[in-house]
Amino acid sequence: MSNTKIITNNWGKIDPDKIESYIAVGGYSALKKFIRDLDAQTVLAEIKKSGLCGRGGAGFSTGDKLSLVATQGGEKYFICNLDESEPGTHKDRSIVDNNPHVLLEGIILSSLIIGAKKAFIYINGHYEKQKEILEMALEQAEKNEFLGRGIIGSCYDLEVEIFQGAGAYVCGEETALINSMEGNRGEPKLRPPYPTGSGLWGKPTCVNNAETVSNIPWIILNGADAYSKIGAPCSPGTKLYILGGSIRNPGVVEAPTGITIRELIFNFGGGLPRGKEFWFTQIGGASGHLVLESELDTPLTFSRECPVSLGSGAILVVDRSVNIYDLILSWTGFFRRESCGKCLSCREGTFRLHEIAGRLQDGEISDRDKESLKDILWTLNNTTFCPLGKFAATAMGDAILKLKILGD
Amino acid sequence: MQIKINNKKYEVEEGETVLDVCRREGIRIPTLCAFEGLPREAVCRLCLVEITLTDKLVTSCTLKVCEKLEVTTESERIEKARRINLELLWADHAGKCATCKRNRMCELQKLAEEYKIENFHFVPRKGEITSSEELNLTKDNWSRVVVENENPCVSRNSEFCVECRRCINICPEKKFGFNHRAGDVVVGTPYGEVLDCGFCGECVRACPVAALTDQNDFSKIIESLDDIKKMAVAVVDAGMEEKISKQFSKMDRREKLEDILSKLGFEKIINISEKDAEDEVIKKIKTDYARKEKINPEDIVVFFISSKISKKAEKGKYLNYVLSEREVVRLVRDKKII
Amino acid sequence: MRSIEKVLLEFDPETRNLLPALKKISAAFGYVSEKDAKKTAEYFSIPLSKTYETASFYDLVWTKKQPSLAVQVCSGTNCAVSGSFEVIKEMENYLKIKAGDGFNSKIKLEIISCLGQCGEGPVVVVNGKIFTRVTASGVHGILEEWL
Repeated sequence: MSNTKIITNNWGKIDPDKIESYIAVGGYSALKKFIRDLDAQTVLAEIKKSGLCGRGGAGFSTGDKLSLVATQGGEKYFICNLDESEPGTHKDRSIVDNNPHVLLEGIILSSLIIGAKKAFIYINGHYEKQKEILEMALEQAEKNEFLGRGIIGSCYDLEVEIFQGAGAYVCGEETALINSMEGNRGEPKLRPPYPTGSGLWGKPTCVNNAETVSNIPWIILNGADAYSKIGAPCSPGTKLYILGGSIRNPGVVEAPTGITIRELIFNFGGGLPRGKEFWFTQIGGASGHLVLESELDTPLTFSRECPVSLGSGAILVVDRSVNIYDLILSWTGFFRRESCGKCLSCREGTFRLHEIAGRLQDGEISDRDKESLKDILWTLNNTTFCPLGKFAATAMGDAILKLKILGD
Repeated sequence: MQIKINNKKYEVEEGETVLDVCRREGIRIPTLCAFEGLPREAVCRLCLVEITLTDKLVTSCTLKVCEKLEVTTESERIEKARRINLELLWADHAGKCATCKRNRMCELQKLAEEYKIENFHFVPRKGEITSSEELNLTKDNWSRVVVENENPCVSRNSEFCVECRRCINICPEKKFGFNHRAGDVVVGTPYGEVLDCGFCGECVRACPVAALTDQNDFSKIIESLDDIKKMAVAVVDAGMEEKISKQFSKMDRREKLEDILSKLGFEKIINISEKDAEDEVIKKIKTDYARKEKINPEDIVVFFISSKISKKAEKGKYLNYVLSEREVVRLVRDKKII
Repeated sequence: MRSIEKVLLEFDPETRNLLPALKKISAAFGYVSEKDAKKTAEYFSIPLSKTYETASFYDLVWTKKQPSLAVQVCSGTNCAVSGSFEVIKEMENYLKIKAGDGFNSKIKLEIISCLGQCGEGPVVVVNGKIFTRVTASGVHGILEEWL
């Protein structure tokens, strides 16, 4: 197993408040290399070849997404998605806390590659401190001519602006994020058109997750071949995993894709605290699947064939002492609050699901409730406007199927 | 271009949606949000169909026709989706059909009947929940209901709303919004303020249910129509014959307007054309006409039968009531005259 | 105290600035009142309905005057497994109100979504001040100074 660290490499070694500290460990050399020796076409081909895919959860090829915008003329935008509001997920926040400049370098490179002169960082409304860190980083980068007009003496121009959200989970979805920046309710938009064709203010827009973006400098410096050799061949590279719940060493760790859940929990997380007995784990936040002991050797990848979707990378370890009904209320309550309310099935479905969860906790569930529950999960899975409906149904569906909360 | 719907070929034009084609060809697809002339929002999740390109259900209202498109509009899965979604909507609905203004003219009621929706499938019965839970449920439900009858023309009750966005999109003055989030969504005016606008009546025309209805004093209207001492005069606006018969078709009825009005108790009917100044015609009834016929103006009740519901705000000395096409049909329904 | 006009003038009147402006107004005055929303709509040349639609959507923009004591408890997955529902129950008992009940004008107990501080749950926010690793037995100590 490769021990390569791409994103966390310098965490704890450099001062996140000082750009010099990042430069001293080779920071911004990917940008310099790009400006001096490379062109957008070459780098784009390299990113495609690397196999890098979206770390926000969907796993779409980053190279393809960048290409879709790069091939279009006229005004266009790059947006770094730092909305990160999946429960149990704070990897992007950790990137900013520990090494904001690797993210910024990735944003600058991505923007230049697609030919955007304007980039935005859409940051979670609750991340006040991280916003300040990024503001400082932007200022420092501009002083060092990594930003602004004529980046390090080239003819490239780029302006980066921070846009802060205002507390709404659904804004992590890229069309909802764009709606929110346009001053609208953060509701997902109808697709097509896709943002890559018609995004922010109708212009071609590439929206990439902060973790995805942070991989770009490494790929430019080390090459696509080196990258594609790390981790699972179907979705190579490393991934930030967020270990939480009943685990000895909670926190963010970087490990290759394709790693098994068992390795993450027991090798990286040090296993469960003394006296706690493993029950199951939830992968990818409130919208993630549940995994039982027998499935712990499943490798985690972004591939559609992977039985457990990696999602945001959050790993919540649940031990036998946890009241499952509390956790169910946590899931259903979350989606009951966070559904945008636009479409019938999600608005009413998440509402009724939470009601039933309340009765489940009180032990009052009727046979009719059980039937209703199945119907609600079915419609959330099959008929909602955007994927949030499916997210809302995943954990509850697994609790019925795997934890047998309703009996066999 | 040709596409296949339910294994039959249809000639279609580029830019059309599958719903457009189906409506034109008489293929039944249930909808609550799609409305003529308005943007397709795809929020009611009822017009779902199957296509060969994907195994997902897709909304026919936004699905543009393309080469080799093959659509199925009826299947077990489609039926299931429509039934569950209608039931979810029904559970959130007031469910007071018998006393509802839109009874038998309601698009949701019609769909509920068509899909045999069980009343309140998703709502717990008494005895299934504790009384404190019930109290919370009631509180929760009522904290979101907005009822407003303070403006002269439009009666609003969000308890009936199906969140279809038609009123939001049709309002030329942009008075309505889709407010709050998730299960707390309320369609209505900002800060729940009293509706104050030109009262063009488009929102009432577009509303599929009884969330937005014509403001009136129905019992008084029926009283004055039934009062043998009073003479009811109807001034019928241009184009009302057609509008009223369109409303009746919702109830699968057809009858001549004059016959309907006389059965309702109107003793005199004055049809006006677009050229006529309606205010002049109305004014003359209690003045010139009353004098000529030697009737005490106090004994004449003047009705203006028109879609211009803003006229409701002008009721006074010469005009007693304004009835829209919907209210005429409602009178017919309540008096059971046809 | 700053005037609403002064806050608005910090922004160019383009709809892209609507959400940041609403957030700022809400933070400066405690909430976005109807009067202020009207001024905002006028400033951005948009209908009031649109201003309210956007304002009412986001957690960090209030459209109602807030009670003097606002307690928020995270019930995100990590906080839930470390006992946030016990904390909520204890708070309900102590404050004598139900979580999510919007009828009390003096105190509000609200269940909120993840703030991204998952390693340190359960997370409680009292009038904007964040408390971490809160336990049911620690509820009294936290709320005492506010009551």
